[in-house]
Amino acid sequence: MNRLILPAALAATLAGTATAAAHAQLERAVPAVGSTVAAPDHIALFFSEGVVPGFSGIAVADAEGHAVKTGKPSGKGAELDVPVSGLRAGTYLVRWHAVSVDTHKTQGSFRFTVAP
Amino acid sequence: MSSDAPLILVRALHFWAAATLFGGAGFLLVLRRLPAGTLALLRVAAGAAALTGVGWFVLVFTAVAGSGGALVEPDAWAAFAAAPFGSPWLARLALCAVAAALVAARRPALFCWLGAALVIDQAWLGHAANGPPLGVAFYWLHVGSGFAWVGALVMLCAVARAERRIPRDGLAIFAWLGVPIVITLVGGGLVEAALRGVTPADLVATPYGRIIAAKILVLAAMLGLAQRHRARGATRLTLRLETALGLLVLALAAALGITPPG
Repeated sequence: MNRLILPAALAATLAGTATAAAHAQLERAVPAVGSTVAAPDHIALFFSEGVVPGFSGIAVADAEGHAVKTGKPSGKGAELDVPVSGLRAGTYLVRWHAVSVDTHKTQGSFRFTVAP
Repeated sequence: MSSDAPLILVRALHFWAAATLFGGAGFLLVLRRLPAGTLALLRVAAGAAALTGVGWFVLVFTAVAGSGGALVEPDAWAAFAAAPFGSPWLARLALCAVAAALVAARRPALFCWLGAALVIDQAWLGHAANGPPLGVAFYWLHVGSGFAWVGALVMLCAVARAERRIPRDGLAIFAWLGVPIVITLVGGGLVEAALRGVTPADLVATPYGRIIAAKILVLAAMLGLAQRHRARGATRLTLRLETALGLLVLALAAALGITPPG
């Protein structure tokens, strides 16, 4: 029995720590990362796990660094949806931050382009 | 110093306190006596659990809300309460209030029940909250067995100090409870592994994996000492060493819980 305890306990330790799922990472977005699209009226982000809209959001800036007006984030599960308005032709930088349902924070950025 | 250092520290202190409450008080209940200083240790653990629990909450709240000023913003509290982690955290704060009240308590059973409640609530405060309900149940088994082991070691050291010797009946508790605890640790951990999965490559490839590897090594040393105690008896030094290693495992767990995998 004792011979079994060590390897079994090591496996358990490994397993127990494995309960840590990945923090919320951006899996895809609409408009898609790096894409060229018609002017959107909202930006949707899809994460690897559930996020909390109340503590998540985006900041959008045009190529000159001017902030774009965004609305209140909403969404359910792993999706975060943010209204945007007044996008003209050009490239935009989206900086996002998310709080997952396990309270962990992640952030990142991507660009997309609005076609003329 | 990592910006996560305060959070890791307060989590480690909280885990140590909760383990002492759950495993330490449980050990005394099985031992059926209260050597000098053991009740005081439980009271200190209760106070520490209350303080570190609130500290942990403040750090989490300000992190998710984005600033310390959010602590006085009703909207931020409303958003926090509405989040999936809101209710478990509010329950944690209630348990902290209970812990603060218990610093004047005399019955080890009350401390043990508090420790159990902290273990149960803890499943929804971190990574396990993201998994299926089955994962939460096995989280309880895994963390509960770990806290029982380490907390009982802490209390055995306190009893040995009070009685100026390592009590045979105390060691006997480990002799017959040690294997079930390890099996529970194993069972809970294996199911967690099946539900989540960690590859062996992670153990060297990522910071997350390296913390796991460190945890494994420390646990292996603990089991080696436990085996020595079973076979050749314990000394104060080896007992303290095993306890210190147990506290180190909990500290590693405190770091692991906020480390992004991958």
